[in-house]
Amino acid sequence: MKTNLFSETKHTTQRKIYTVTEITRDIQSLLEEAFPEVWVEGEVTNLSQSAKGHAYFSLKDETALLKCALFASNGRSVKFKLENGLKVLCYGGISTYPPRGDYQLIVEKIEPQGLGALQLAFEQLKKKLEKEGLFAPKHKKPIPFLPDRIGIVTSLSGKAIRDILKVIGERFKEVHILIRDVRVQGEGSAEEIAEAIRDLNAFGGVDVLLVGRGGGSMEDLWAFNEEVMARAIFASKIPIISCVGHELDFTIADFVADVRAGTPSMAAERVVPDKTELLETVDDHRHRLRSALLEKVELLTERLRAQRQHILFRQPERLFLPKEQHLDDLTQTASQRMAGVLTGVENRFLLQVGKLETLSPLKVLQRGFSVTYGLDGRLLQETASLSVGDKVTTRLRRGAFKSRVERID
Amino acid sequence: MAEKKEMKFEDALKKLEEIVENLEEGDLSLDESMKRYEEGIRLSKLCSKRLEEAKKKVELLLKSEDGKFVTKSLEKDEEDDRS
Repeated sequence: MKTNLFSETKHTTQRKIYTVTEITRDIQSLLEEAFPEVWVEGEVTNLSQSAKGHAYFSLKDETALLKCALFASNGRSVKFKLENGLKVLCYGGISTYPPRGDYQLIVEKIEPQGLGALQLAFEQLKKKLEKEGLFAPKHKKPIPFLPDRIGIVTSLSGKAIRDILKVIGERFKEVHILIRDVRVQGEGSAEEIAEAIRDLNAFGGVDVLLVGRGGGSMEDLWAFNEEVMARAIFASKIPIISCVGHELDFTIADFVADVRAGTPSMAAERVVPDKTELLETVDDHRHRLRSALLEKVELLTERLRAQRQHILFRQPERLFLPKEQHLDDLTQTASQRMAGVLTGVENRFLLQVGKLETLSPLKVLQRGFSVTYGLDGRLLQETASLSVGDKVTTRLRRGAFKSRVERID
Repeated sequence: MAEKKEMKFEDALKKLEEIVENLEEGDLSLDESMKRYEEGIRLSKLCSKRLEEAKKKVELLLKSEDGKFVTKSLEKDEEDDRS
């Protein structure tokens, strides 16, 4: 027991005492020396972002958790957005966070697992802008049929501008082209393109914009997948045709643009009509106008001719001859009937006159008869109304006399 | 900068097409046909004129330090390119 006690005491005199800071510093050195550069795979969890742009999160798998810190200086090179649940591969060194007694991975690079980093960033931005409605068909502006002035945003040294000018030259070279020379890849190129779009809007008089570049890797085309560029396209009052890379390359710019052309050459084809074709169309219309009118006139002339050839036009008397005949008939009938009527009237008149004459008492008197009137002036026709002694008046052919009735027989 | 035009090319062309179809149907009176014909000819001239009068111009749009725009002709390069 004593020995034990002694040895214990002795041990006590030899013990080294660390302060928390000291031991933490030692641990930190050990860890930093042991794990200066590691790749760790896991799922992002407990993600939080600081106002300064640092990101803190943990990587986890089925049984363990590792705290991670992604400082803003390193975070800028990460194109995609960190999200909880994302499976990633982190590169960095293990260190400690003394205030909390934590050990953590100071992350320098992150790669998403499964999709490539750029692909993931693309998908994320696409989802976000789509949700905001930047791709909605209702925002698509119509492309003018025949623009006076075309704005082009691309690199003057690229292949795209040569293709565009060549195709426009073949189709309708008499347009006003305004080029804004920009860098189309590398740091800051998206901002440059966005500014060029704004500038062409501010300059005025531009009817349509072509924004794009020739083919390249996804990294090369990256400027066209950045949010700043998408927002500039969306804000443009001038309709925009995007033309980035080859036909199979789809960029965020393509989704926001009013029309997506597969290549710069196709954009040029879309932006101007074929002049020769148009002139032919106009000519063709003029010919059709003329022949339609001629046809109309001919048709009318033909109808007129047909009318003229009608028998009535060739022998117009035919038109009224029958009528004349009818008129003659009528006249004849009329006069005949008139005559008839007149004769009738005449005869009737003469008859009446004759009758009148026979009936006239004077006529009777002429034949030697006389008439006798009573006192009341009435013609005496029978003796019954007479009495002896009545005075009567008798009228002869010439003259009259009064007498008295002496005897009635 | 935008110039005022009496009618946009595509509108004039569309109207012209309508008139041609109208006239081809042949249901119009002669008087009306004449009127449409004249209108059509006027439109077709307008279209041709618009196609002929356009001028070729290739320019570079530059922005100065103080934010002012300057245009610089690029036609020569174009000519060289084509020769």
